[in-house]
Amino acid sequence: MRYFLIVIFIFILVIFYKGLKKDPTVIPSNLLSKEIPEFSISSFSGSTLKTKDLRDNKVKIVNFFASWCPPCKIEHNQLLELSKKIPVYGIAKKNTHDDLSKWFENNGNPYTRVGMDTNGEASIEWGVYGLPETFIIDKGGIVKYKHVGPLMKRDQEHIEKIIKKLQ
Amino acid sequence: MVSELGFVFLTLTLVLSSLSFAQLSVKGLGFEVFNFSQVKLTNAIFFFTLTSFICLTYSFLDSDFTLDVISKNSNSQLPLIYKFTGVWGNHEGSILLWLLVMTFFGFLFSSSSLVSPTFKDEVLKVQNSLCFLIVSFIVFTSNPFQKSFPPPVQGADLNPLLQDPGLAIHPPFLYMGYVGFSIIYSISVAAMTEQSNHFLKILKPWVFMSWIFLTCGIGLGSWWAYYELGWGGFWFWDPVENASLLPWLTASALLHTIVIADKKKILVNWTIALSILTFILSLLGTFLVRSGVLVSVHAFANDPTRGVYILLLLASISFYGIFKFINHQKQNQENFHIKLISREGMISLNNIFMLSIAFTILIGTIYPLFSSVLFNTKISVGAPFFNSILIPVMFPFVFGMILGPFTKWNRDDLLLILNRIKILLLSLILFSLITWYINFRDPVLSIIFIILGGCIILSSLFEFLQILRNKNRLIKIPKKMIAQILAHSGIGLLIIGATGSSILKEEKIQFQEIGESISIKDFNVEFIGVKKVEGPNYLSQMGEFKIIQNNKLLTILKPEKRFYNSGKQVTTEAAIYSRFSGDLYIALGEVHENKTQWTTRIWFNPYTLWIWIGVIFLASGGLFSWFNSLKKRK
Amino acid sequence: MKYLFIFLSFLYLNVLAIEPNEILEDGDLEKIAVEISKELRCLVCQNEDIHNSNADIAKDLRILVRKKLESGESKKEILKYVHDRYGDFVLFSPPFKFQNIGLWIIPLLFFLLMTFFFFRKS
Repeated sequence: MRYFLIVIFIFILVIFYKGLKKDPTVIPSNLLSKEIPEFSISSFSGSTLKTKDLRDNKVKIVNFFASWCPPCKIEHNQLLELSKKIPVYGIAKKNTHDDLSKWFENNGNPYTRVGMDTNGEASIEWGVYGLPETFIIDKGGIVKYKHVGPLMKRDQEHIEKIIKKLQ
Repeated sequence: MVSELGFVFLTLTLVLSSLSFAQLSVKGLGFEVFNFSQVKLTNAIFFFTLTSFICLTYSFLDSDFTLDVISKNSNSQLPLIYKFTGVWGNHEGSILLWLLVMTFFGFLFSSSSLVSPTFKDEVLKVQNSLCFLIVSFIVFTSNPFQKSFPPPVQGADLNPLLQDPGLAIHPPFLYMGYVGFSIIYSISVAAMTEQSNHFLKILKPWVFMSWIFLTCGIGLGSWWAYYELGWGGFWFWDPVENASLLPWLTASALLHTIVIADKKKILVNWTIALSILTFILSLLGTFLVRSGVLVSVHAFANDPTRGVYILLLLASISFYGIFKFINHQKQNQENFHIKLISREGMISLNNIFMLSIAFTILIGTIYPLFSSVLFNTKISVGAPFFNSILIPVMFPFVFGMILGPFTKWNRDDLLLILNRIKILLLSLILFSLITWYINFRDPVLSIIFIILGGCIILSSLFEFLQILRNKNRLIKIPKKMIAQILAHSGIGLLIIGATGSSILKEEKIQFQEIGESISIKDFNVEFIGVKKVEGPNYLSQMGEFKIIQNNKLLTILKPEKRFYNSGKQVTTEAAIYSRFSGDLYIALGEVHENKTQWTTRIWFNPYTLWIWIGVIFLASGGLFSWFNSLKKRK
Repeated sequence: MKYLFIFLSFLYLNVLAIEPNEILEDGDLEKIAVEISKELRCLVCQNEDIHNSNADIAKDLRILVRKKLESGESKKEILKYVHDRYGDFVLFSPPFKFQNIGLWIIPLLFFLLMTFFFFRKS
């Protein structure tokens, strides 16, 4: 009986210890290994951006951002780097056309195409809860990886490895 | 200069308490080498910690920004009172306060003349060892006297939510509760070592005292949340709130158990086990708040190294207590049998429920952590879960509370009990029917809970009248009966208040035009306007609302939105008009473009006052028991 | 990650949540909307539901819930919709899965054990 108690006790302590290493604020994506969600929004260029546009047998990145989001500025250079290797699609959440134009003028535009999620519904379709968030889509249109928060230099390697594997 | 002195005294505490710790560890290994006067050590440790704390307080009041903790949590524009309470408005200062209370209780215990010298020595050895563990945690991971390089000219600020009288006294009360349980742990551990039998009389007052403080601490926190957070909620099943409820529940079970143990000499092992468990749960609460392992509105800025250290503290203190208990129980098997229909049986039933609720809340709180580590999934366990488990447990709990006081010790018969209280039963049934009839339009759950709460109050009243008739004079009623009547009534009031304020809450949210009247319940709330007011360290937009009932002006409520100068943070100060039937609660929202329309939120929260009154009754009941136990120590 | 939360916690202190223009005309439908909102977690806050939170995502979800209610969807369907996209974390009452069985079974076992220990014949 007493050994049983001691075993349970140690088990609980080990779980607490392991819990310390984890970040309780990151939520894993529910879209992993599923097809990209159905959505259709207007695009920056004036037409539309929809699910079909993202199903073209190419590995690509989908990045949710906004000009009013400070961490998005931090990762902008990383995105410009990545856009040289594979297509990066952007979805601007709650941005006006004017604000976006200014943002691209001042910082550059890494995006092949930009969708405008004006009411936030597309973001909800993708399970996005904050900004920025980045998805890697494989050739078959399946969501393979999600990164929450700005892409830093140290994430670069990991992302490139995944992209290489998918290609 | 003062801050360096503070650090020196802290180090002295570390050195002295290490002596007790060494003595205890060495003894645990089987041999005695040192022998220090624990009483002298305890007094010195208390004196040094107190001086250290005074030094830190002085530095805060002086706005000494060379200290890192002050530069991050204070500001020279802060009103003096919040410079003072800001001492514990951060991790480092609050854990120093923890230590201060721990050494203070050690000091109080050492000055007691009613304890035998050998037993006192043993208890203080354990208590000082606990102090050693805490002070080493402070010195090595959470030093409040850490310098900031370079010292800033002006500090950040105390979080505006903490610049509030309610929240200022909430931590000290909580700590007096949590840390009071450390003495209970020490006394129980010493009782096992010394094979003392009269430790129960010594233990009792400390149990009541700590329980009273924890009750007030939790009540204050709830009350603060109610008036400060702007939407009238008072309990959120937040992990840290749950963590404070756990030791409260086990302490409540302990409170009942120790009464049986003292009277009938059974359940002594249970008393020891619950004492140890209660302190372990206090520490667990500390771990959850300060380690960053759970997401909570209360979490301090967290640091995983601190988390590991606290986990080690928690592990070692728990392990020591549990290990000692298991050995003790092996050698001190108790022989008794409790019958369900008896006073002991009712109290045991109550204990089972309280411990089960505590355990369920514990599991619910840490399950997301387990799930994340074991299955790598993230789940949430929130209010819907906790509310749903509470509801079924309420019934047997209340049933026990009503029948218990009328049940005889040793053994009794259910039919005899019912016969004894037939007048009460009749009035309870009558009360239930009347309540249902008056409130039949309300949600069913609310009617049920109000009936339950009311039944508890009625049965306490009946008990009071019955004993008054027997004793003829108020003075002659035994204090422990008054304690029980007050405390149980308090629970009844709490249930009614909590039910009314949450389930029966009425809400009106709208764009209100200046001059417009909104009606809620039988009140008319007329919007007079908004004016700018300057505070000591903030700028406020103050709304003014006339509250009219039956064409009579009752009062003018002034909710505010405060913009703090330093951190550019905004807080909402709600305005509340309290009556026994309920609170009228107004919060001011945003202004609209035309500048004459504002978003206003108006609530009517029925019976809210009864929650706070219920807590006061609970604490008062505890006070009667406490004084009674102090008197009966010989 | 830190930046995201510093940025969003800015909104937390401005603690008033649902705006008058979000509230539905239909009182019964609004009641269901509030019920649903209280079961959905604000994903960027520290332990709040979307009804009481001022965060952007909370507001978006509130509006979406009401839009779906007005188009005739049921409470179950709406909760499933949000659950599918955000996972178990967004539900304040954990779903009935094998991994979560412990949440109910363990306390029940504890209760039975306690009763046994208190009332057994020594």
